Amino acid sequence: MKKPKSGSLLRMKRAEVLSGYLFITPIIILLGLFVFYGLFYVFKLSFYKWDGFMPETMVFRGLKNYSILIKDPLSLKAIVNVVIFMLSTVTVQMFLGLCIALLLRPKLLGHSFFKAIVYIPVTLSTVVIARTFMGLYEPYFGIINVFLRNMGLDSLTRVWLGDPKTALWCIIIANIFQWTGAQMVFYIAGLTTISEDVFEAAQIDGAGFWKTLKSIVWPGLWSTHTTVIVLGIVGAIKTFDIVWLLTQGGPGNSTQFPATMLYQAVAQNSQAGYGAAISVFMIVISVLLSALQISFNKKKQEA
Amino acid sequence: MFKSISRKERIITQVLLIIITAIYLIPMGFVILSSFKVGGIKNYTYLFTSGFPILRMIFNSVFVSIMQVLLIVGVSSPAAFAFSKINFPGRDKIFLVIMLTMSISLLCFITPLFQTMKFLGWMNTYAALILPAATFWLPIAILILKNYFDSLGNELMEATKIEGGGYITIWYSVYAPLSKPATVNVIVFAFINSWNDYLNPLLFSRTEEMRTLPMAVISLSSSIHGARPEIIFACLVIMAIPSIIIYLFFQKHLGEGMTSGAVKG
Repeated sequence: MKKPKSGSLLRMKRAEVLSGYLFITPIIILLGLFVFYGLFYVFKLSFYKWDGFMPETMVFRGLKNYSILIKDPLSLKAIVNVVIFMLSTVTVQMFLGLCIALLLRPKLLGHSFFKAIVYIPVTLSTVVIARTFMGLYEPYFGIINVFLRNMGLDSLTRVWLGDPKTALWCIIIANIFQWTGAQMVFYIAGLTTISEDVFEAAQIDGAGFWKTLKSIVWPGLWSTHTTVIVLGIVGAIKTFDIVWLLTQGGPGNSTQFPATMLYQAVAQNSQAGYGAAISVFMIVISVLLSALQISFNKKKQEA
Repeated sequence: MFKSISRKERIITQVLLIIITAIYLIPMGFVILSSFKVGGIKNYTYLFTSGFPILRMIFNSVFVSIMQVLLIVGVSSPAAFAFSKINFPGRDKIFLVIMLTMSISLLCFITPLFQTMKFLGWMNTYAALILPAATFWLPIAILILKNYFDSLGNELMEATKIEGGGYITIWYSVYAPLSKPATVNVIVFAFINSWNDYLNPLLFSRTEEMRTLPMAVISLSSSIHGARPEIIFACLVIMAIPSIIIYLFFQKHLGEGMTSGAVKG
């Protein structure tokens, strides 16, 4: 009696394993074709000189692409820009996102309207955001310069996107406008995890707004902060659309980002090998950040 | 402020909210006003009557977005179910590898993607507009759905097994319907993401006939189509309306997903 039973158990186990693999086959094929193959490809290509057209013209050049990349003054510029972009968008979005979430908390008149308005840019294409801000920054008819001229502040008017001093900040402001709604939603969700009893106790103890914010709300939102920060860094590394649409890395390379350098190298300058070295650099950082994020989430679940 | 709110605090909060909303409304209002400058409503009709292939581009956007959503849901739901509920060797390692690739930009694979597309003859086809972008959105869809499947117990699975149902039955007729709230999130965000996508069509569409709406804006900005700002703004409004309507329509159903939807940026 024992034998057939263990046999059927084995068969069930085998069916389970087989259906497991069957269910993940489509995603493995797609990721294999577009991601895993790409990983090997760019890693290999980063050691070659190639224009990206005829496979016969590929020439092995060892670590030269990497040494060019390290020595290229543009690389430093791109890294500095990404760091400035990261620090300013993350801090401002955290601050604004938390402020708006706090303001929405008492559920005053029209709070769902306010929330929708702040969230709408998140649902829009970066193309829409970029074209909107190009309209605002436009030197002759753009709202900003028209406003400044009407206020008699002509000396402050600028060719905002055409001036190396202001172009990066124009990109940063457009990005903050687009994504603050997302951080707001994170903080609204985070605020609901703080128990009402804690607020009640604080009120009984006579803690005012700032005291409660500093000693209860801010530390209580720790996991939200880490999520928002990690996502902000991940997003900054990948940033391409908004920069390409607003400045294409210009004027005079003043707004180059790793992604715009990569696109220019491959799509405009036929430097596929050099582009691959930039890709490898970006991939390594992205994967490390994902690993960090996963370990954060694990800790959160265990806590 | 946190527990009960005084009259003074209420007024300050309300005023601050109105100021913030006004700051958000200025750029939006500017776009809408600009889209009616010079020609009024004619700016909109011009898009459809001037010979510019806007209808084809709208069709492309709708078709590509729907196909991406179908592909993403069809591929990620069974995979997420397998990662959550089925035991097979290497499961957690495979899942970890997929999650590690989650935040890599599609742009990093520009050369291999070009080579693959050329090899398959897919350059400037719907396959190229649909497959790569959808694939890069799959990990986040799997994450959302797996978290949801994890929150559903195993009892229903055991019950179906006793009734003699295989894993396909368990997924298709029990767990997939139960995961509707998470699936709605995936559908809405995958659709909006695809509708708004600029990078994928920038890389793979080569002719006006294969452009989607975000690329229509780029076409209109070129001198061949006159680069008239009011026409471009009208096109932006046309493009923005579906995203906003979909968001407002599903707003109530978008819980956790609203946060996960932002992950892909």
